[in-house]
Amino acid sequence: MKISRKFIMTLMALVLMAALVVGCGNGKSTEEPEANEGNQTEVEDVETDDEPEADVEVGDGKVDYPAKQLTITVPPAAGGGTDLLYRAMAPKIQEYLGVPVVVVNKPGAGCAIGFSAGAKDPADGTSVTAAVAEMLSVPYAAEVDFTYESFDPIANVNSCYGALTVAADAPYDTLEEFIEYAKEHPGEIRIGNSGIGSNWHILAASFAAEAGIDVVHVPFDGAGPAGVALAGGHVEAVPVSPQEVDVHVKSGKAKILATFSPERLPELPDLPTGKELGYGNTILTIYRGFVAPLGTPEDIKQMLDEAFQYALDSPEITKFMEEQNFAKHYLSDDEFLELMEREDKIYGEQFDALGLSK
Amino acid sequence: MFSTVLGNVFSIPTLMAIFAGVVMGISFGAMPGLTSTMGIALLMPLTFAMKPEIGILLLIGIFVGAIYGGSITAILINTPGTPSAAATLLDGYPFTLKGEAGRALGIATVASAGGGIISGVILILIAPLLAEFALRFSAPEIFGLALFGISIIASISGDSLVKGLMSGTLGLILSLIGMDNITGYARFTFGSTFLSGGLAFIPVLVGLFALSQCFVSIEDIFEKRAEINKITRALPTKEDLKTIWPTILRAGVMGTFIGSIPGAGGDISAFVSYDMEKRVSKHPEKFGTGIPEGVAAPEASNNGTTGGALIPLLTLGIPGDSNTAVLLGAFMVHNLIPGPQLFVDHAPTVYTIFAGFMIANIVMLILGLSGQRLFVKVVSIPKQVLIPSIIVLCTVGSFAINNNFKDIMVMLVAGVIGYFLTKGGFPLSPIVLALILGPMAEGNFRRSLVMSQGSYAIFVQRPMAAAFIAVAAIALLYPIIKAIIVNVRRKEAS
Amino acid sequence: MGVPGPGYFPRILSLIVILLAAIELISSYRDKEEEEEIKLFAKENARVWVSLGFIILYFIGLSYLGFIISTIIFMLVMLMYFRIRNIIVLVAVPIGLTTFLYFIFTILLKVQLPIGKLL
Repeated sequence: MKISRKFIMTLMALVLMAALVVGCGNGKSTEEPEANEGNQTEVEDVETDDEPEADVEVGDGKVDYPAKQLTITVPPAAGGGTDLLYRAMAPKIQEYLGVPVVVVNKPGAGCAIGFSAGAKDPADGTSVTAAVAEMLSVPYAAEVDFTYESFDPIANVNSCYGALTVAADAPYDTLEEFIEYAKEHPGEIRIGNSGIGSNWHILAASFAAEAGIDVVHVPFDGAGPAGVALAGGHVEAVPVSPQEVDVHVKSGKAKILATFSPERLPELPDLPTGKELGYGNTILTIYRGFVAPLGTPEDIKQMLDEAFQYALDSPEITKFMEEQNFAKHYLSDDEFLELMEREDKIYGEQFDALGLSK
Repeated sequence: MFSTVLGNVFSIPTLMAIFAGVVMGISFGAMPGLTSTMGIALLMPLTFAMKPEIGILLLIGIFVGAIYGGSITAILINTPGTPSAAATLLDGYPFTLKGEAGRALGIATVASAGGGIISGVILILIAPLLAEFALRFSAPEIFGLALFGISIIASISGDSLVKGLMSGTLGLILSLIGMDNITGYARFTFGSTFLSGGLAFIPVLVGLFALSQCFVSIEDIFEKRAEINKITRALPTKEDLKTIWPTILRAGVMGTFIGSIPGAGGDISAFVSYDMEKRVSKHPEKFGTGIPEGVAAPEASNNGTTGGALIPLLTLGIPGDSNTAVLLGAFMVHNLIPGPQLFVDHAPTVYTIFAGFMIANIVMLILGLSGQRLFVKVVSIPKQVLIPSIIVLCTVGSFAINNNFKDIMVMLVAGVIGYFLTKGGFPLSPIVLALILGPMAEGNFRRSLVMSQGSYAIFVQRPMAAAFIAVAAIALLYPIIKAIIVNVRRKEAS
Repeated sequence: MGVPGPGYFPRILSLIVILLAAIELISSYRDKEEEEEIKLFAKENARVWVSLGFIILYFIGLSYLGFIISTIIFMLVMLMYFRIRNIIVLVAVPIGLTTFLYFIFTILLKVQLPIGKLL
């Protein structure tokens, strides 16, 4: 009767060996997972040097980090774009700090669970939380026990912005024409978003308010489905990021009219920004950074900041972000805080205006 | 290119990856509490260092294997290993009780492989076309489909229609917990942040089916189990095969179709196909007693969704179900951005993946059939050992999903509720259907109205939506009306 | 705007529940066939409730003592409660299963298993 258990164990051992062989067959060593406890990706090994990265010896850090290990709490679910970025950076951060760096997902309730837990972590350098833009919107949407002020910001590493994307065969080709059309047909333009109270929804509402147009906001379960709805002609526009609609633009079903970013995006230099065209108040940053529990000592925060910059500047991460279309956007703790304060006001206003405040 | 693809796919590393994936998939799928989605998500980071085809085929192997693997425990111990096997136990477990576990396992294996291969063929031939079609599907159509799915509750209620409907309603109520998708309003959350995200599906499913089944078994844990050691059949008979191949064809196609609809996966399609087989069968009353079609239909269907779900994933970048949602991440990491460009820029890779998919199904067939004697041994593990083990597996599985302790409490409560319901004669399957389809139906109903700015006409103006809704209405009302008539006639007779 | 609010669906459901409950109640009065008693708290069910108690203790143990210790103890207790006397089984199964799961989850998949607060 224990045959099946033992058999399965043997099978798993065989499978593990098979996986190792498969990995080795490509010239990459998959032995690292055993050594680097808690590291989850070998992204740094992907297509970089020919010789495998040296095993990170714990204790070899560039600074003398006081805590025994660092846990990065990531509220978004495992496997998504945000999660991948943090997992990619973890080994580099570990290299700098010289202590094990572990990524733990705490998904649920639109990131509320993860943030709520992160805010309660001890302020002794053992934990940081991935700071994503939902941190600003969720407190307005639900009864939670945190706001962005429940954390000490450390640094931001990546940002992306929204864009106005419409159907390829729509009768408007510029932002101005779109707004004109909307004014002539009040209440008819439907803008899809990734969910009620989501960043994209607030962005769309903020834009509509600034442009003075009357539109309908249709919620979907995420930016992906919203994009598909646009491609299928079920809504007239979406405010999501250019990456998220890229597939539809390439297949000829959609066209981007303008981006809602402070400057023109390097990968889309021909697209004007809303700011240029006079709608400069509508900028929402989908940021990805790090925050620590309130009251974390200055020297620890300093070391963490250096570690994040080290990781960000490293060739592996640079390559990774380039390939995955993540734009580097470093902000120091003060700049990061200022960003959050500024945009928090927009969220607050729009939530009120939309009647969504809890 | 043909030769490149063949070269790629029949290379040792690729084949090993597929094999490893299927083995891991079957193991994962078979264990209650661990699901296919979890397996893919957890193993994905390991694939980052591999070449794209190999990494992705490893994950696809897990996908294919796990969807099949769930049927093993569903048949042997009345506990689905994955949500997609929840319908398999309806006829699968009765086989075991009759001492014919091997026959059911064999049917499940053949049906799963059959469904998978059919979906692979459809995938390869029609993917782009079907993708265009899938674009036309939006909220009203999905609402209609979900409504139709809910109407199936009437058909799987077994003897008591009323109890089945009550189970279904309970499921619908449970699905309401959390923040409402359309307005963000928190329902039934009692101020808890945890509940505002809604009940995680897996802990509820695991608790409801697996844990409650454990409780039921504890009652007679010291009694001798039915004589199951004699496996009368290791392989399905020729007759069985002849009986089920039309079923496999129908269910496989249906599964592919349902899988290609974003958000609808194996769990739904299994029930839909089970229901369909019952309706077209010449002996519908035999369903639930252990007949081949009753096992073949859900298994062919849920494996049909594996290929089906890949269609919108590859052509539009929209996952067809929860498993492909994780696969999407894998594709992105390997720089294979799904969409029409994928077929242009990376054609050899894509077709290698297609070929690998087919091979994965064949591997699954071989492993399943040869592993039969092993699987059946599970039944001979004494209940006293099996039950605590399952409880631990369920606990670990429920925790591992979200790293959240509260999930295992959800599982426990679901288990107790499931126990009560089972003792009271309430069927559990309607709850699963309702949990999945309730939010889909309600959310899309209201989304449709937002899209139409409040006009109900949208449901009538769109032909597909109208058709689904009509069919759903008939499917739901027909059994009810029939039951009423039967009741009335019975009273007149007495 | 005419879009049903969040209360729409729950209200419909409560109506359905009331309706169904009424039907079931009425039909149970009319079909006066053998009343099958559902035993939930009788002697036969004692084992279930005791097991439930053990499970709850296991969960408490998970949060204080962590996965490995709690699981081994839980399995040991359950096996003994279910009258397994064979020493080999009592030792091998708890340790085997716990090790197996630890191996898969913590080492292979790098997923966190419950860590006790006390440890």
